[in-house]
Amino acid sequence: MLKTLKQTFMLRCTMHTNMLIHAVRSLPVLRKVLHNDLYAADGFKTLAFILVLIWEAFTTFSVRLIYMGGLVALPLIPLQSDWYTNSQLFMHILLLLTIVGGMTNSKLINVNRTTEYAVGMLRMDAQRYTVANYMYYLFRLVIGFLPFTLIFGLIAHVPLWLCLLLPFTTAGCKVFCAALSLTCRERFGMTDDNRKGNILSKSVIVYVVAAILLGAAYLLPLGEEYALPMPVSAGILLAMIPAGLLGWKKIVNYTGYKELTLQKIRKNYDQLDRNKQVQKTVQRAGISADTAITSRRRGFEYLNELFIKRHRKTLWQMTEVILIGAACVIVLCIILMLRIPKTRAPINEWIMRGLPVLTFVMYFLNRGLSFTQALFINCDHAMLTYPFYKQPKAILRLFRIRLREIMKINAAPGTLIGCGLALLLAISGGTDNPWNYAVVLVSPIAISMFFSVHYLTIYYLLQPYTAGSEIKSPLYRFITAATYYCCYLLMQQKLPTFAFGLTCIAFCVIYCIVACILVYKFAARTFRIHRE
Amino acid sequence: MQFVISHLAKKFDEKEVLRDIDFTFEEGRIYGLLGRNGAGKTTLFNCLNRDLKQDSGSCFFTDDSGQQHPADTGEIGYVLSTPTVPEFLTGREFLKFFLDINADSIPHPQPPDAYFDCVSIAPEDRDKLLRDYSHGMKNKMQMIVNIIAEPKLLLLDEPLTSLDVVVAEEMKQLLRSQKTGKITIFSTHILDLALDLCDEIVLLNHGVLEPVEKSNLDSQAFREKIIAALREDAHA
Repeated sequence: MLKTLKQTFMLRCTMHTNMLIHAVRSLPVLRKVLHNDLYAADGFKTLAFILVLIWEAFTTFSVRLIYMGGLVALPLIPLQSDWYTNSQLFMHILLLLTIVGGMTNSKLINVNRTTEYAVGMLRMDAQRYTVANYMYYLFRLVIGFLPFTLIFGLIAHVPLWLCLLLPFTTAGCKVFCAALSLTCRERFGMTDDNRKGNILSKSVIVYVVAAILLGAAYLLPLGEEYALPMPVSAGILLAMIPAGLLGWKKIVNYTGYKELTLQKIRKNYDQLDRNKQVQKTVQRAGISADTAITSRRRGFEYLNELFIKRHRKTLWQMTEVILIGAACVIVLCIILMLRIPKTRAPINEWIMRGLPVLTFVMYFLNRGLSFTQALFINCDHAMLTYPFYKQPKAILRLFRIRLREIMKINAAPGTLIGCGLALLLAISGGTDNPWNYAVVLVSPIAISMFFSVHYLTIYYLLQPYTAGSEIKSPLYRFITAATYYCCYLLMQQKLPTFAFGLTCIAFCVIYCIVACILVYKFAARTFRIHRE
Repeated sequence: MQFVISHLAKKFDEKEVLRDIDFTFEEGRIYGLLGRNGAGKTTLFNCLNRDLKQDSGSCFFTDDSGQQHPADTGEIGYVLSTPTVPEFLTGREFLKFFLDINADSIPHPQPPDAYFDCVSIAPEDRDKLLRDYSHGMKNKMQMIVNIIAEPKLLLLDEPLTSLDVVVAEEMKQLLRSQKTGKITIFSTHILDLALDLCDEIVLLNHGVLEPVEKSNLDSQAFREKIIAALREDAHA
């Protein structure tokens, strides 16, 4: 068993180490410096191995800290009551969450990439693999929980001896539930796959019970000010230790692991294939088959008009939903202010100081990413294989046309929001400086222009898609993530609308000019299908 | 006209896929490019088509007077094994767009239907979305574009491998009829196909191109010579 565990552990570490080296090598500069022989370099391998071990240790504790701190200890603060003690509430929540965790996530047949390699490809004995890895999982569970059951338990005045035993009760519950699941599978043919349409299949029952228990964990103390008596919750939890020991016998002796594991591996592969296909299928399904769609234009304008008309559903339907949603919010705010005059002041205050939130809102409303995605999958992926399409003149001509189109799509919600904000500002009491109206009106439009230019520019300059329509450019990923975080950080700021709006408009204009210059200078070289 | 590859090299990390390739292709000939899996055939095509940047070397055309000019992407046609066509357009719209864009460079443009007839695409299929075309029909569309554009160099990366026998035969006829005035390089794994269609056989061995001389050999002896040359590669 120990040998199997060691082999699996080495396999996982090798896999993670190689993934780490691959990730480091995919960084633009390092790729040229670090060669393939890095995979065989002992020094770097050892370093990566140590990093993997540190990560293993980190996740052992961090996951349990989040669980115990966030789900058990933190709710004690708002749920405090005179009707029960803190320790009673602590044990109440822990008991119910432990049962929910055991039922929904026993982790016995945990098929991941290591399982796929070990059992699926390297033909490791499935029973030894499963049992050895389950032992390791339970070991990490107990070690990871122990510090936090001690810290949070003692703070909640749970006796020390009970705090020390709590990790073992959690492990016992997992083992018992896993054994129970194997027995149900053997005796009643139950599976954890409810796609057969059997409403009594295990997953439905399990998740209904889990939802009830989860509700009982928090809603009983919140609504009824009730928590299970300490002896009851402690008694049930402690009873899970012998129950777990009993269940362990079943787990060790069960013989159907190979079949079960291979079934799950196949399902994982199917899912993986489906996920890869789904993006392409969604984009391709968005093409309208309406034969009445035509165009009287010529050249690239002809191509663009047909593209826009045939992708109306993909490109404009969401924008229409956004427009309706934004109009509803604006009308609701107006009704609110007219009916309840005291709401005018906070709305006015928000418009005058809370405009940075708009950046985050506009980030979510902009359609730049889906526009470029549709462009690549349904058009450029094919057209970039034809020489005439890669001519600098053609690339720049089409860039101009597409910029106009994406600006139209994004400007519609921007204009509505801008007009709506100016109207709300007027109804909520107005402002001393009439320029504020102009700033509030123009800012959303400028931000929508920024996102239009931004996404189209990084698409043309980085062309992040491979021939297989997958995004593989680390720089593109970094820029899109950075865009999100910048918008998120801006949302946290409270800035005077006039100053923020003016800065924002100036930034957007400058960015658009710089971005267009960059595209004109470099896109002819960068806008290619990447076959490396 | 000749197409010359001069000192072309490309490596991925430390692996030299193309090593200092020097080769001259002659006008009006179909060259069968043979090589084992991973020999670098697609890499060579991607470099010639500028989809991949070579590490060193150049490619150029020389005309009958001996004047050289670098190969421009507009002069190269590339047909991939998996045909790629813009799926939101109909066959006719795709052709119309192509003819519009290239109006200045097409000497004798014909109406789209003439081109469809040329590759045997039925009238009822011409106004269907390319999304709904079969693999063979998409392949024919790629070929039409290359017939219209009349590139000086036509690169074909295993274009007949997954076609049914009728379409494959039609495509072979088409390639034979179109070979005048251009250089066609045809990459394939199928030796029979190469021997049937191509005028010359070129092997991509150890990252360099080597012609296989037919001399006075009969077809069986020629076939054995090619296989022996490819085997040598495996033992190298």
